[in-house]
Amino acid sequence: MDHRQYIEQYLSADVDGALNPAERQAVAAHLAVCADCRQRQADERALKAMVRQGLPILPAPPELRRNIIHALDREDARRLTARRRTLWIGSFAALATAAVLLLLIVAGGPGRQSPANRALQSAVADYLQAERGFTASPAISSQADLALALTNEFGYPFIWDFSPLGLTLAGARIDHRPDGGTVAYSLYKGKAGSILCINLRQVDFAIPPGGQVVHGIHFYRSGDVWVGVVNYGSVFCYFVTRLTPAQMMPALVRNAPNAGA
Amino acid sequence: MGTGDSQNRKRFEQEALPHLDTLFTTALHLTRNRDDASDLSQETMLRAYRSFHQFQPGTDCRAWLLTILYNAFRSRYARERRREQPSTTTEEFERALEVESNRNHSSADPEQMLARSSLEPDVQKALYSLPQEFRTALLLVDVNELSYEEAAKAMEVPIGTVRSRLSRARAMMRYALKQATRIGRSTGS
Repeated sequence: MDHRQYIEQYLSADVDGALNPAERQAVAAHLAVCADCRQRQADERALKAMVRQGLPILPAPPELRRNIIHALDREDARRLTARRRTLWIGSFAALATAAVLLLLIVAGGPGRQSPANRALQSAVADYLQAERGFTASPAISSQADLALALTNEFGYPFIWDFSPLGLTLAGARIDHRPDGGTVAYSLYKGKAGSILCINLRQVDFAIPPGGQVVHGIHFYRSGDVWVGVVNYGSVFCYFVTRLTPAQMMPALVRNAPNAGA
Repeated sequence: MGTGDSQNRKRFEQEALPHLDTLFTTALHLTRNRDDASDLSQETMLRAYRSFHQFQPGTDCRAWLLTILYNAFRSRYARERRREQPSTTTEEFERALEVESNRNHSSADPEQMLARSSLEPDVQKALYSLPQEFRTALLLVDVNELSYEEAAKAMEVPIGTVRSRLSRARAMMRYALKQATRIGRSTGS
């Protein structure tokens, strides 16, 4: 190790105690013979101390603390309302979709709904609700915002480009469920129709059998509503729409995991 | 509110809220604006509350909150772009540091600076002149005493990047503080 190497590559980490054993040994050997670097080490320590001393922790404004408490109160109220709404929508969905679920593949026969099929029914119910009215988050107003929000929640921007279908992002939101789960909704609309994308993490979950596979996406039909399902590890993406897979093809070709297959 | 919810809320107030001063101070140095710092701190606490179920009890809550803070800052920073005052660019600093490295290093400079009575405005001003990614590295490691691993997680960069940013950040601080000392000497302050 030479003088320049120590300063440029090891000095900061040395002062922070962040060198690995081999580096520590090499640094110790160099410092034993380089008085200038020993002085630089002392200077770096002094600089670090000065930064800490010159930037003390400041008290947060009292109104900030109050505002945060109020925000937590509102969040608690929102969760309680969402929980009640989920129960209500669940009941409504059962009534509204019972008549149109005849073609949906049910694993295990009538009367035994698998988690996978409950998920498909829930996705259809969410789409029907979105057609009546979709509550969007003002914080997500573009594909870029959505990509960032999805990355924050799921670690990856699971967004699709539906512009080949003439559909653009009409709104999106992230719901935090009472059970701790997170669901991201993004609604795309245009003259051709609409698509609701639903992203959520589902552990120990498998895509139900019997779907029509197009470009790596499993499609299921519920009356005139189609549900496409694809997963990236434990994150599942549902596309719910009245467009058929054939009508969606331009977007599937552009975005799907097995595009061209 | 159910019993589970109220316990969750109580636990959050006990574990997370005590770190509000740290969050506000860091937010202030990131945004360089008190109102923005308050907004960012509030947004951070709300995000933290919503994902409190992901926090492992017994682990460093402060480091977890600072990670959320920096993520929230980056989301806002990406949206609001150039609302912040311009800091010296990395290129400008690198050129100045290159010139400085060819001069004699005065090893007494940090001690001289420490001896000055009014330290805070100089250090804060120097910090605010740093480009954002270097300012962040300094705030997380030097001010908040996060380990390199914790800082890497907060900034979502490799540990090697934290190390190099910190090294450059300190060189930039040294230069900025030295400039402030020279100006102080020349104006007699």
